[in-house]
Amino acid sequence: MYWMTYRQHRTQLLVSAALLAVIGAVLLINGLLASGAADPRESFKAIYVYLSWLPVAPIAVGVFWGTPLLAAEFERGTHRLAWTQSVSRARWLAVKLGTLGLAVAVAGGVFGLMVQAWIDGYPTVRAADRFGDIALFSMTGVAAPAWWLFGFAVGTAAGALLRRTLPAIAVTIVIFVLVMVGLFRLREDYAEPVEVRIDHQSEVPHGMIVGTLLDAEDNTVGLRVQPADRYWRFQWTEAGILLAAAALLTGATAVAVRRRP
Amino acid sequence: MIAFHLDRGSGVATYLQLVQQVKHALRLGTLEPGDRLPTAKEVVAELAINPNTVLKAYRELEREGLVTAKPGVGTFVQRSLGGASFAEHARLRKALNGWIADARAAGLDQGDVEALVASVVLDAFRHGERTA
Amino acid sequence: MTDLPVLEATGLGKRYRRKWALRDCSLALPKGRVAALVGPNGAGKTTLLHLAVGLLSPSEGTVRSTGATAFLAQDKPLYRGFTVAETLKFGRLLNPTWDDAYAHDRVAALGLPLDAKAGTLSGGQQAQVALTLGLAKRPDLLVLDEPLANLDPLARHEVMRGLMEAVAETGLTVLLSSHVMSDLRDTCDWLVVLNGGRVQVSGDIDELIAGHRLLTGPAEDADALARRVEVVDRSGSRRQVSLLARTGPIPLGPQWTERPVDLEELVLAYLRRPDAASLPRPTLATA
Repeated sequence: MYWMTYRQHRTQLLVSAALLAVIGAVLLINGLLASGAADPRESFKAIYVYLSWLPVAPIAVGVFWGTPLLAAEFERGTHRLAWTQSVSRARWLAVKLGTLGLAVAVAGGVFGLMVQAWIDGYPTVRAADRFGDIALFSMTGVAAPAWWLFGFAVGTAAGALLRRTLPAIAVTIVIFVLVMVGLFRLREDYAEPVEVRIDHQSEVPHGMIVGTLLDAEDNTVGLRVQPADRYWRFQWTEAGILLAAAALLTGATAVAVRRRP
Repeated sequence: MIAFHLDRGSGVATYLQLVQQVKHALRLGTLEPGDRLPTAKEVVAELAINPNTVLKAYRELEREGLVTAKPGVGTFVQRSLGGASFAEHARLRKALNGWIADARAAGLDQGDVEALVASVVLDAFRHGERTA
Repeated sequence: MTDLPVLEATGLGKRYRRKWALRDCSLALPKGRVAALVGPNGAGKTTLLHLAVGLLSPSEGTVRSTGATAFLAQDKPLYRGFTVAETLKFGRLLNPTWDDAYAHDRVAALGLPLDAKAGTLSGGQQAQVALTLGLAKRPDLLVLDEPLANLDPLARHEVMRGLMEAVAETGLTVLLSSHVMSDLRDTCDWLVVLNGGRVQVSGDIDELIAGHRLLTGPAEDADALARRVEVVDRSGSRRQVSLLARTGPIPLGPQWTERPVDLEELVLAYLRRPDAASLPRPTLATA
């Protein structure tokens, strides 16, 4: 079964590993150059422009790893070939989801570590903030592999339930984007924000700024902030939500597989 | 060794075709006592027919005492078929020739003769076929 | 012949939502038989086969097979990106009873290149790879769903020949569905007719042929005759009728002729008359 899983998904595994290596190399080179750069902010921005799009990378995981995993078998009827060998359907599914899920989690984790290492190369750049920046938060810590696994689970479930790759891809993209927009908004409320009084001289506090405090004349007198030390608490909260959703989707996948003749 | 062939349009059951072909070979002397018949697998590989059909044909031949099956070795011809000796054959052939001449004199052509012979043969042996 | 049936269904039924695809299906397939499952499209053939191999679970009744079962699904699916060698490896890794030497011998004898991708093979070659995959498991029962569909006549012959050789070699029991009767005549010895989700006929083909006669005669005597024999199908004009009857040789009036039926006539007669049935009596052993 493990050989089978590897053989069937060899191309995806190799292409994903190559893409990760390319991203890693770009981040590494940029990071090395940053230490000698005249203005690290420019150097940071040059990459951030592209990197800030990568919270949607899990969509690619869902589309290229998830949707075809079952839908391609159903479309070609090969599931009947696999399910009538001497390996139970449950084991077949468990090995596939387990192996590929692990690969996805590892890839997401590695991606997160690379982004984190890159951020660490910019200690003086304020924008290089893994908590305050909406994109960087999703691409670091435990949230990174959780988002990747969630993308994989959405794609797999869509493929299992719709049984056809193309509609499953469309549904995967829509669901993922909706959840992403939803969680990006919800994230600010994972805990009660702290109110910080500011005036013209004071520096903007570190952390996730979620709102402003106004006085009677509509002047800004303070900020509502999630302090920077809440990073891990927020990371685990987000990962928990995503993994719970992924578990539910995987349950739906298992039911769909069990019912499929 | 005998090579079987199938006449798929004849309407004759496949196993009967095999039986008839063995009998025919026995009559013509193509198969002689001691000869081995092809195994079911060999026939199947040739004709793509159900092996049970071959076995059924061989069972029928065995029942008639024409062949014997030696388990694990093969099926062998037990006795030849001819019904009558060569002398008898010659005598019957001569008589038949006379009858054919008679029929032609009466105005029957080849088709008429064949139809008549077939009909008489059928009537004469029908009882035998039924019980077979 | 005293062996247990290799496949036995009792009161088997399958319902998809509110519609029954198969209902009240009972049959027993003796060991070593090559059974043809025939019936119109939508009769429930695929459902029955999927139940037999465990791809589906019954809504009612039971289906049970003794020993290992192999299945060739409709369209003979293969992983197109796998080479022939990888396809055999797939079979070996997923089946403890796999006979690797047999699989490789068979593929070599058929002249199939081991390094060719399955997707690049012809339909006939793909069918042979799929058949090898099923046979090398050394199953007691091989179930095939429309194995001859979409194959040219030569490939059909080759696939059937391979199947028959395996039966001759191992005493394998085969259940195959098809809607092309002519391919089944020489290869099958058991017939199952499925119509509208119900089993209409199940039995030995020779016995079925011997047990039916086509009687032709004047229409005015037909009703009287129909009271004496079980008529499956009736056709003809106002003056002359043909009765396909379930009977052995019987004495007939001088105006009547009778002849044996062939398999195709027999099947068509039953399919035209969904109410008629020819099933083994439950108390009698069918083997």
